[in-house]
Amino acid sequence: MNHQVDGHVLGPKNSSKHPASLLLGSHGQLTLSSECCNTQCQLEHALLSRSIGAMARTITFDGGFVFVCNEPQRLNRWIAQHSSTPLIAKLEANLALIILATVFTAIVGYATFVYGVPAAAKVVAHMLPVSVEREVGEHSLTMLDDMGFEASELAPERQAQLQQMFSATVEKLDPHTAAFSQTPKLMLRHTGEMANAFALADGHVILTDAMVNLAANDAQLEAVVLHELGHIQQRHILTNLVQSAILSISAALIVGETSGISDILVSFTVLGTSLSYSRQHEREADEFAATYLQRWYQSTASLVQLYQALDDGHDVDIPGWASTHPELTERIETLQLHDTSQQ
Amino acid sequence: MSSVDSSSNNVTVEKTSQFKFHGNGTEFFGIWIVNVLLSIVTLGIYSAWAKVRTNNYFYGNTELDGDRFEYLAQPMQLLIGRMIALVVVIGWSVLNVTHPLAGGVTAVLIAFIVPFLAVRNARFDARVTRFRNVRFDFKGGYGGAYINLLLKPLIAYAIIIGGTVALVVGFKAMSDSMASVGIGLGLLFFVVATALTYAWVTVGFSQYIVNGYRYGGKPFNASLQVREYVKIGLTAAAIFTAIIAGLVAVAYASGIGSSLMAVFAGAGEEDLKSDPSMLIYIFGGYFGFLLLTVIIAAYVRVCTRNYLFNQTKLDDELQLVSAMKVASFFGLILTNLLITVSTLGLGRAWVAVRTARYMSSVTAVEGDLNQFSVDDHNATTSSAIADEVADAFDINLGII
Repeated sequence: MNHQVDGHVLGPKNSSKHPASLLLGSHGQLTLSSECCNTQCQLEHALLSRSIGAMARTITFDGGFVFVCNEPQRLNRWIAQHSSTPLIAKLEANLALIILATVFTAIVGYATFVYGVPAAAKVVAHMLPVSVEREVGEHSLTMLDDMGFEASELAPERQAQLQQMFSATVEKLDPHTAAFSQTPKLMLRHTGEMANAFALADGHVILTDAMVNLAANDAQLEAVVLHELGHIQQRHILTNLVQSAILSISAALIVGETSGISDILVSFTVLGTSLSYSRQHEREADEFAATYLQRWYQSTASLVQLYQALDDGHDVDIPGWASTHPELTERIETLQLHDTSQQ
Repeated sequence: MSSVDSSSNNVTVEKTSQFKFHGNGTEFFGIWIVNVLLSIVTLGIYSAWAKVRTNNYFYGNTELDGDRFEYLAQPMQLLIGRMIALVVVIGWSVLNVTHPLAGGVTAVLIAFIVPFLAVRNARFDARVTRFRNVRFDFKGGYGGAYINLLLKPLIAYAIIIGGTVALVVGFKAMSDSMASVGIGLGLLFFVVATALTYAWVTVGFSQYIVNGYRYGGKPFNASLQVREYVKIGLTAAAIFTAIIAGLVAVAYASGIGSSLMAVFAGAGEEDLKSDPSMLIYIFGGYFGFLLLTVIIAAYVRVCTRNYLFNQTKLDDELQLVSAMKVASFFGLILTNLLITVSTLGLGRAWVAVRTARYMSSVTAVEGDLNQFSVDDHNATTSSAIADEVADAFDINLGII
């Protein structure tokens, strides 16, 4: 049975429209009639525009005459009946595949951000030369000076004692499982009342005077030093830098367009994800410290006590998801679990 | 106003053709998610094909006066450009981590080739766009690109930063008691200079881009007034200041302000502990501020697009028309945000379709398209490299 559809013809490389009608034969023959062009051909010899969803299709005849239909859905249906639909168009309309693709994409997206990015960053961080660590570390040291970190006000004898404790701790570590790319160094600093301890990329462990004073005994300080050595040994600082680079680049590539709102969304997502990576690093450093405390003293009590002291002197309760560190109560519980599992 | 002019010259009533978008969010979701799946499975290689299919879908569903647009780029063109862009981006980010200084120098070098890339990008995009068998083109020269995209913005920054710093430092040098006057004047200068130079830069930039476009051989032209952009910029600044002032007044009146100040002054850790609602105010204020910047950005976007389009003619015969409204556009942005967040990003297909539908619904062409006959030019377009590097670095000109 023959159908007829109306529309117009566009001349080759010209924008003029000419009214036209197209006769659709039952065996796929096309008969185009218009004031500018009358022609006949088989569907398979004409050039069809791509089939994507229900998008209106056009037919290009010999010489570049293009037929555009007034009733695109009728023409689309006839074309579908008389030619084979391309595989990709079939896939894009296949409900089962769409559901599978949705689930798959969600899983891959989740796994990439939770496991893929940290793992890739770790690999990259370990490939970077030591000179990078040194340079980043020096940069952080100058930044600390700018932020008002000053020379420690502890008595010189006390400082010497702490340095000795530090090198003794480093030497006690298992040289096989805890190899360092740079020799760790202890640096004592004074900055107001802030009790803090942290590690730099070049192997510096910084303890503030307030932290030294907060600790009830040197065993607790040793525990904190172990935690920071964990960061250094696992190259967490460099890994962090690489992670942020990967995150920012991939976020920019995924989002692509620029309206103010998507910038906000991206920055929130990148920030939130970076924070979750940071919390993971804290857990790993705790794990490192706990392993050695168990081995040497059969107890993680010293670290637990210090965290409790920190928690007591603590001020603002920032919710866990918005913080660089997991909640102290959670970390204490994990450490105590270590003790019970060993007994 | 143009309809008054033309009706005096022309006896026939101006015909207006409205853009129409025929895409469907649910249908496009299927296309999009299958493309994402194939891109993942092929480790990103398929993404060039995905981009072509997506653009085919959006161009091919955009109708003007009975005909659809066409996207003619081939996936291989995009793939080659994409690989080069990837190498550049990775190389640059590694350099940035290992040698921050060299990374910085490279960033400056990249800034210097941005105008070049922008021209190539505009040309590529124009040449792969076809309507009624006739392709678009971009003829803007490199000289104009460097003046309008690099030189003018640099001059603007120099004026804004230099002037503000000079005022603040100058008054402080006179005497310490004058320092606050200097800061006040500096702030005023900053706002006014930003609005004025923004207008000056935007006019140069938009005029350069629009006047560079061709449809077949026929030129687009727009003559823009700096005055109009100044009006838009100053109105936006006034709305922003008024809302902020209003919020601050409310905060002080209700007593929240003073306790917040105490928190920021440092004495507040105990206060925070005793009154956790402070934290809510701080978060609320932060989100409120973001929302406000989005409103202002929407206002500026709507006004500038309407003005630009309504000043643009094709070969002095066809008039572009844009009738965006701040409220409806802001509503679109906000609902798009909610869809994206609530679907964890999977709703992007609907977001894209809704945005295209909205943009089409506020865009039209005045004049008789049927009488407007154009021949295609014979340009050959083969390289997508500039296009892709531009994409990865996100310097798309975003004029429409």
